[in-house]
Amino acid sequence: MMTKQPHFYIRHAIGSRLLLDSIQHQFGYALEPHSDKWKFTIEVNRPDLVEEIMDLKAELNLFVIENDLDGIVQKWWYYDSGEPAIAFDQTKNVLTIMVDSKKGYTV
Amino acid sequence: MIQVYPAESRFTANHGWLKTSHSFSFADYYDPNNLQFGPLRVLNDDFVAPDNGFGAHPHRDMEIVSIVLKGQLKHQDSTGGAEVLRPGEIQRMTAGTGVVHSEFNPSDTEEVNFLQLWFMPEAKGLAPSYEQKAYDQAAMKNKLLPVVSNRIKSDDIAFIHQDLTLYLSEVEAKQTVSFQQAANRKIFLFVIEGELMLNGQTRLTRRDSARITGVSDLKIEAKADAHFMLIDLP
Repeated sequence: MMTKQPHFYIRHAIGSRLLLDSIQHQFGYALEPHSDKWKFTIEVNRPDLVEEIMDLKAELNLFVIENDLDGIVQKWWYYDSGEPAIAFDQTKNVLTIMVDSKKGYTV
Repeated sequence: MIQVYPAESRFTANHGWLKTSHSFSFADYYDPNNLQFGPLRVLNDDFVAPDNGFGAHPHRDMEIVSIVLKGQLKHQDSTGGAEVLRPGEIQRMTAGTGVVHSEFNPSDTEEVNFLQLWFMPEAKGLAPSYEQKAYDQAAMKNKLLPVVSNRIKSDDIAFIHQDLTLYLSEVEAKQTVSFQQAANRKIFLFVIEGELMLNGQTRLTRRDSARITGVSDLKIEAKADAHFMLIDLP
């Protein structure tokens, strides 16, 4: 149901520890605007990782990485200025995170 | 209590262009029992090869202090800040609501060695800002020289949004400096070079650190010429 998306990962904002990675942990996700926010819907069958993410919900940095044909890496940084809306549907293994901030930069 | 953390207890990693030692949990090193000491959350001792560095990356809600020990470090950030940091200078960046920056060794011949410290800020959502200050290296001879503080105001002291003061010192062999600590505050001490004896009992050598609580009078004696950092923390 979910279309293939660019590399997506979540780091702890304090100390930069990698918490979830779409390549390493092999999950699909969707990203959509939601009024003036951004909503990530993540299919992840790892309740242990989800639990840690929910524990650190006020300190999450979310990244989407896009590579263009010229080798330029565009990074999109998503985060919430306060505390993101976050929920985990255990019956469907779907984690949703909604954040209010986005910044782009190239590497 | 004086709790000693020997240099070799630090987590180390060699990425080729970067050799780093973490005093606290950072990136791939995660120890839930070694996350922070008061508001001090990160102390990395980084050696970056010539013409290499950390590309653009973001931070938020953190006070970040960089101290170059050898070489040069070029900083650029999304607030428009761009400067080269050298020994005798100190940089404080308030990440606040969010900032993207890069740190690069601009030399094509000389390695840069710098300490980077992250402190939890006194409040979230601060406006991003950056400042670089030069301090008189001769003024830290046999004394504690404040270089970052929220309470000691001077043109050559960087302001930080946390209730702390960071001192640098170079003490000659057999000389002693003292620090009086207020009740319910902490001291973090890191030996950059040399050898120290704390209160006549605790020996520290190069890159060792100590996390000190409940000590009101700290006598710091240099057993050999020493360069160190002391941080007064809540």
